[in-house]
Amino acid sequence: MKALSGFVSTLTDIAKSGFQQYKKVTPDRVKLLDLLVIFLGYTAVVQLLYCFIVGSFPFNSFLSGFICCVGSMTLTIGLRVQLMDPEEFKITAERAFADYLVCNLVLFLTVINFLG
Amino acid sequence: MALFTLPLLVAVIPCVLCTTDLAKAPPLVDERIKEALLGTSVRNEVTAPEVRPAVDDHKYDNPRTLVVLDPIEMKDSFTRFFKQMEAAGHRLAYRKVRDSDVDKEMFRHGERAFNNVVLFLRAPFPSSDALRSLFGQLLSFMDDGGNLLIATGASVQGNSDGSGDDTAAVASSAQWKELRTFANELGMDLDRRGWVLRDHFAFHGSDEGQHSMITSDKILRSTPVVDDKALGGPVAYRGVGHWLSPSNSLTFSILRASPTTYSAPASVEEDAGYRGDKQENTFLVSAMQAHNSARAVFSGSLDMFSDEFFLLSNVSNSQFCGQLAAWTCHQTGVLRSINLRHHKYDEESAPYMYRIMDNITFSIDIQEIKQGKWVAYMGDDVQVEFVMLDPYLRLFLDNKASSGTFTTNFKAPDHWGVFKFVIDHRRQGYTFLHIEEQAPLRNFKHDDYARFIWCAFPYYGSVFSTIAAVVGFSFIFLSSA
Repeated sequence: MKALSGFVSTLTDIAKSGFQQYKKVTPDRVKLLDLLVIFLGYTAVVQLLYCFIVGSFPFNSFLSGFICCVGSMTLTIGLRVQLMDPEEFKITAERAFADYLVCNLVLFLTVINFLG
Repeated sequence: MALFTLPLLVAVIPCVLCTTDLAKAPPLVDERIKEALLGTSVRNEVTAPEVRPAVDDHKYDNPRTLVVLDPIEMKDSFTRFFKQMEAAGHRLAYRKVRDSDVDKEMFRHGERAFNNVVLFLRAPFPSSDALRSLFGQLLSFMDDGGNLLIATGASVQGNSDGSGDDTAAVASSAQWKELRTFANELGMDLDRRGWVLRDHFAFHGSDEGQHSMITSDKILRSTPVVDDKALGGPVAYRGVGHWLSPSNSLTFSILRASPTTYSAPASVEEDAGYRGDKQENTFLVSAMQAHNSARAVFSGSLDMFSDEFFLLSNVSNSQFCGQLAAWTCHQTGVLRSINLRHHKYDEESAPYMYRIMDNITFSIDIQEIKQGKWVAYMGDDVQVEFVMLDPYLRLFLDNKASSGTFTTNFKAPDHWGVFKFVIDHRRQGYTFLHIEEQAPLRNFKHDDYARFIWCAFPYYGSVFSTIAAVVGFSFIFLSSA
């Protein structure tokens, strides 16, 4: 029992220090990015639950809603990776962001066509 | 300069000439082609060609019937039967088998000249060549849709007390072979030459000799062929029996012999103790309705139709033979369909195409001929199939209030393609009814789907909130740079 509570307190310590480190080291723009990722993931999960409860009709609407969130989330994570590691990707932040916007535009157009 | 203008003139002048010619020429699309295209006659001076009345015009109320006998005086033995036929509207023409004209008369200028043929054959039979030619002609007559009533077998020449002279009916083997071959064409297997049916239990009271004047009440029931309730008693019969192949769906028996009837050579005396061979299913009168609904009825007894048998007590030969002739000659048991219509359940007329899973209403009027008039068909087992190679649906049609209008509603299958409605109604004693009507099914069009479904609003919301989030994020991201 003592060992378990010790283990839990160790875990919380690690999480706390990790969060402190995240707040200190990560740039504000990237924090914003992470917030977006969390929002999109949350929306996707809610839609999945809703689909389980209500049923898959209309399936095309569900697919477009779900894929829109997951796709946009994937693109956002991609942008984050590119921003955090400029040595690896060798492109400027502006170029990466422009790519991100174009990809999102294509995704949204597709999804809206499939939504009805 | 002149060098340049000359070829130019040479080139231009013919063109001008051509155009003036074209202006004078008749228009390319002339009136006749317009008529053909539009389907309307613009000109009045065209007189309608003289229309010869087709033989089938009065097929039901006033049929033309050819009676083939040999010799022609034989008809005096069947006056009552022929009077009955005339009363039923038949226009009778009597011909001898040996008349070489019989073959030609059946078809005139390549067209069938009669609706029905009644063929009465008895000994002495015509030569086998004459029979072969006649039977060949009769088969093409049936192929063309004519009906045939044929009776043969023991002769009426026998003594009126029934004590026998059955041997007079014996044909030569070549003649009998022709007869058997023809019966085979009709799906019937005729008994051996010179054999007659006898029955020591079911015989008519006036037959005190060889008991060859048998009686039977085993009449086909519940069909339009013979109304067995209207008959006053059994049917008297003297002649040969035959058998049917159970695998042939076009043939069926109308009158069967009682189980005690057996077949034996006509010449064998009862006292000789000959028992013959007993057959469970000896058929006396049978019918074959071909795929074109032409009917052939075969009776192994000619006497059945004779005045002598009509006048016997306690038998119903008169009614039976009258009904038999009426059925044979398409005066009963004929179906037709009119007024086929189909549409969506809540509409009035057929659309250009149905969509999968549409609610379709199908209805058709089926009529039956009775006393020369078309009346509502009373059947309750008419089915319609919705077919694309295979039937996807097979539904009973509802005969609404026995009005003869058969209706059903159904939901089209979830499968698109070239479908058709098919009614294939085959019932014993009725002409075959085969109707097909094409009704293709299409898939959903892009605007057939429902929009703004309320249970999909979370999905719509999520898409637009994602777009808003990405746009909002972009503004903040760029402004913070």
